[in-house]
Amino acid sequence: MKKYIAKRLLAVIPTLFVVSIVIFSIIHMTPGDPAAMILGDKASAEDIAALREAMGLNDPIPVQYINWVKDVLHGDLGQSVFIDKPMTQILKEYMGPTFSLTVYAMILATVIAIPLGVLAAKKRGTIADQGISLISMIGISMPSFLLGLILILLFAVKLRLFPVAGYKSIEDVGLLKHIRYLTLPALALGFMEAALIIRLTRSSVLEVLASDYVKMAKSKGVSEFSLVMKHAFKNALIPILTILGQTFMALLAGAAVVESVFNIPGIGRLTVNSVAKRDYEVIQAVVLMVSLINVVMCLAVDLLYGLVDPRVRLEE
Amino acid sequence: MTDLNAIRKKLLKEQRQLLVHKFFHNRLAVTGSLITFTMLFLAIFAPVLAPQGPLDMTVADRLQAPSAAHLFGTDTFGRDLFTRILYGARVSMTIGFFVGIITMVVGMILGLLASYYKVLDEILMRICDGLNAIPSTLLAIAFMSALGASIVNVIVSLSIVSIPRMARIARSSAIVVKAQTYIEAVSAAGAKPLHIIFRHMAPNILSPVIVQASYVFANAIITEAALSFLGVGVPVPEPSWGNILYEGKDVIYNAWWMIVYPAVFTAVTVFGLNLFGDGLRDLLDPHTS
Repeated sequence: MKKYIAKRLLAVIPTLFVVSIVIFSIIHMTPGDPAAMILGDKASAEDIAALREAMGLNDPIPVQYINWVKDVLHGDLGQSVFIDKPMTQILKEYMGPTFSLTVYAMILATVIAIPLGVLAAKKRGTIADQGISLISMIGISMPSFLLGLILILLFAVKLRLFPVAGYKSIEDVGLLKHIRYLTLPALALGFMEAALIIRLTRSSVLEVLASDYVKMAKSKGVSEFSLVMKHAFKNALIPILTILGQTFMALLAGAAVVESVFNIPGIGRLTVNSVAKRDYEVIQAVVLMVSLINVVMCLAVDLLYGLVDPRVRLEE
Repeated sequence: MTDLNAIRKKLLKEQRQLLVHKFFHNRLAVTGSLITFTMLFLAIFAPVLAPQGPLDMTVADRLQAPSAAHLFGTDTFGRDLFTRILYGARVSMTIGFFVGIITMVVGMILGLLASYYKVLDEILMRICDGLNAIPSTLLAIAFMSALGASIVNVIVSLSIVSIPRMARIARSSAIVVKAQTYIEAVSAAGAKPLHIIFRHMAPNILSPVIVQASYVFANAIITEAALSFLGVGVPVPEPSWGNILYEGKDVIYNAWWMIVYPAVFTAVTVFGLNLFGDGLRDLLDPHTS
């Protein structure tokens, strides 16, 4: 196990290196001078020169990269041009709503999707199975912002059951109202992932149901219920767990778009607003943070995987 | 019957007929291709089908509900929505098509090379891991922020984010192909590596690559719409389903048609492409389904 952990940890280093190069390059992909881009057409030559100096743009690119990595390792993620706060504090403030939304969407997606997936596998080939397959097919074709807009039209504008948009934090309005504001966004965000989880759960359970040990248990007279719940589901859980890790990340990244639909002040909206203002360092910081969370998450899932299934860590 | 070539031709023909037969008996695949070809048709013939130009404004007619004069109603500037959605199909299809092709070609070349050269493999796969670690929508937004909003930049950004996955799929198929005896045989016969890779290996990894390309196509349409909706994709006033939705969001209380029609077109197109992709996969690559 120790060897497995060490190997996985080492594998993270090149990934982080590539991630850092890509994020560092964002600012240098701008056509022309980044400082002039940030300050806009009306900026004077002195202002541009000053910003170039402040951003260290006059150094050779490799030096800039090394300085940037050094800063990041010291926790300095850059300086927003428009928000006068340390970057880590900005990220912390905007991360709250995004995190709430992601977790809520995750709960909705799994609570709906896993039972449906198991049901579809058990009733394979019946109308129920086909119906569930159709729902998941529609879900996969329905990007979150589309669904979000349709949900707003239906449940907020026509039926007036939920607020059209906006965000209220738990501290301000309590849990119930907080949830009321986040329900449509979470549904919009979670539906596509739920569709994917349904498909995966179904195929994963089917595969296990077709395996020899399940057939064996069946021939021994194990009841249908405990067969599915105890034998099949438990073994199908490993790939499902992996998918849950990936789902969390997909939701976190997808939140960027949904937040803009519902005007939720999370990191996604922060990013989109920063694009409009050409506040590149904020964009870099957000992408860096989300990517880091992703890398850590993948590592955790990998390690968990090795812990649960000895075959994984003995491989290679 | 000594003419081997004739026999081979006949066999190939039968094989093709069998594939076509199988495809047309897969109802979902047929539905998917019907939808896809309808959208392609609408996109190609938009200038003929549309009642007016995509930028023609009649300010007096702004935000009209669907009627005989304006099938899908009009938008905030009094432009005909049906026209704009048809032209939007052009934008979506163009972007999806080019992203699909570029991703397929580049991903395939990278995957093939990686499967053949060990050192390159390590480097390329680490780069893919790194790119995969950054969520693709965010990466696309970041690229668009740097490059600036335009159709070409959307194609570039979306291709960059889709290539790593394609390269991985191509690589894993290529590794299987490379281990086959016939590759050993051509290699022993003195064929050069590049000749082996592109002449003998490439045709045999096409199936999974084409299937993946159809999903990339569908995904590109979704992401383009999302980027344009966020204001970082196709710049206004060029019509795209995403920026029609963006304009629709501001008038959601008054003009449901500006949300419903573009949303339906986007969802149906992607649905069709996904069905098409699933059908293709069942046909070409039965092991993975």
